[in-house]
Amino acid sequence: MFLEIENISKQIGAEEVLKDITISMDRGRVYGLQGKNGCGKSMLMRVICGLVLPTSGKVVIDGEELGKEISFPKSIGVLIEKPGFLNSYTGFQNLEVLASIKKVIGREEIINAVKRVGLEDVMDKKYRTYSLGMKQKLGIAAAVMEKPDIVILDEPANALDEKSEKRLWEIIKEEKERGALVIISCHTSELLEEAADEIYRMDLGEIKEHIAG
Amino acid sequence: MFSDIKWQIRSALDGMRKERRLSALVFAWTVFCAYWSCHGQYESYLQLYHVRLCAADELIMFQGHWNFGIMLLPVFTFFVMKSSRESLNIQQLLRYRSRKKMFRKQIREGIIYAFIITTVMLTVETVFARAMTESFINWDQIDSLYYSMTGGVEEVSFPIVLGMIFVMYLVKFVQILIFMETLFWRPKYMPALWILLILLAAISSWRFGGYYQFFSVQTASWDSPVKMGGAFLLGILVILAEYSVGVRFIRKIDLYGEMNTGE
Repeated sequence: MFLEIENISKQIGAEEVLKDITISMDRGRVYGLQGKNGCGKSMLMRVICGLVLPTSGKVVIDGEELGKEISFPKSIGVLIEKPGFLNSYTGFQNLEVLASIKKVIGREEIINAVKRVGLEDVMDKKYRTYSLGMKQKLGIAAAVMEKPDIVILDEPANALDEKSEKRLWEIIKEEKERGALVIISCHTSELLEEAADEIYRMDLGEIKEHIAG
Repeated sequence: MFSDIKWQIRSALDGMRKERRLSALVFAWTVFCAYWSCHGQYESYLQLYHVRLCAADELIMFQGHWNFGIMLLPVFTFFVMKSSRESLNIQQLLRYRSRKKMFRKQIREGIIYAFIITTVMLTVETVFARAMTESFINWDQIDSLYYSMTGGVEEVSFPIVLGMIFVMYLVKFVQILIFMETLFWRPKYMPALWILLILLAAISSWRFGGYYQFFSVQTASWDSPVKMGGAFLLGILVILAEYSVGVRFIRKIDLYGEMNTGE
């Protein structure tokens, strides 16, 4: 398996926010994490990203242990919190800034990502003029533009209208077909059932149910 | 594609623009402090000590613990803290794939803020200092403060004095801002920054020769390159020490979210 989460637990103070979680995930599949707010979905995603170090257990990505052999996954795209884009830059410029760090894609790929999320008409407008939905779409474009091996989208449908939501599921499908491992979280099951191959239902930091499609 | 430095300058300006009202307040406060500090000083020195102050003397006095350490530095620090609160950016961190690189980027941003603030502050102070004295520099005259303090005259140009003061301000700002950028990784420790500022001001008030005096251009030590160079080099050493402690501090820190306080 490409991504192995082995007996992960995370303690913050007296509270155990993740309890003995073991999941194996492979490329070319979509995994859904479902549960109410505070159930540990975002924490688990942060552990996979290397942003939070587990109290016990390990995350192994493509044979390399996170926090030991590698600090962060080699190829990952995330929408995990407010992306921190610059207000005075256009949507396109903001993506250009991010792309300039890894330098694996050029202008064409960025334009393609913008088109995929449907922001081509406003890509030259300042970020501060964007609506919440447009900001969310730009965050999705940032997550997928570099064609990462792992795509993590935390509540990606937030603030999206029906049409944009459909477009989002199209993008998730395309990412899966490209061979990416996609992890998405949602607090409702309907949206996940449409897109995910496997769903993990979480509650109080534990996996309560695993539904394999 | 964007060069790192251009993007970081833009990011700092963006942060300041976001805090437009605070920026205006901080600027107004700087103007007030500059006026308040040098108002009436020229006449006092002339009557009491029979010396004529110049703009360079005023700028040197501005660096003290009262004007800079108590009145200005905490305000500037709060301003930068508000403007650069998004400097620790998850999207960038995951692309750098290194906490150290992210920290270095934060430090570069801190230096940019320090540069901008020092420029604005010194410009305001220079305008007031010159307006309330008779010349930019008079250290070559025997009725100057320089002569009364050192017993000699000095043929130095004002831009050189200004440049030295600028560099020492920059050193102090960078020292404080690196400490602040480190604490962005664990915001619950942010009160340590304010405790540090209170301690530095208290020590400087209690005993002449504290932090603010040491990392400053002093009239009495102007003719001693060893003292001036020593203060600068020690300032750089403090910055390097802060960097290496910071790198160790952030190595295992969990990043929970926007405010890094929990899910």
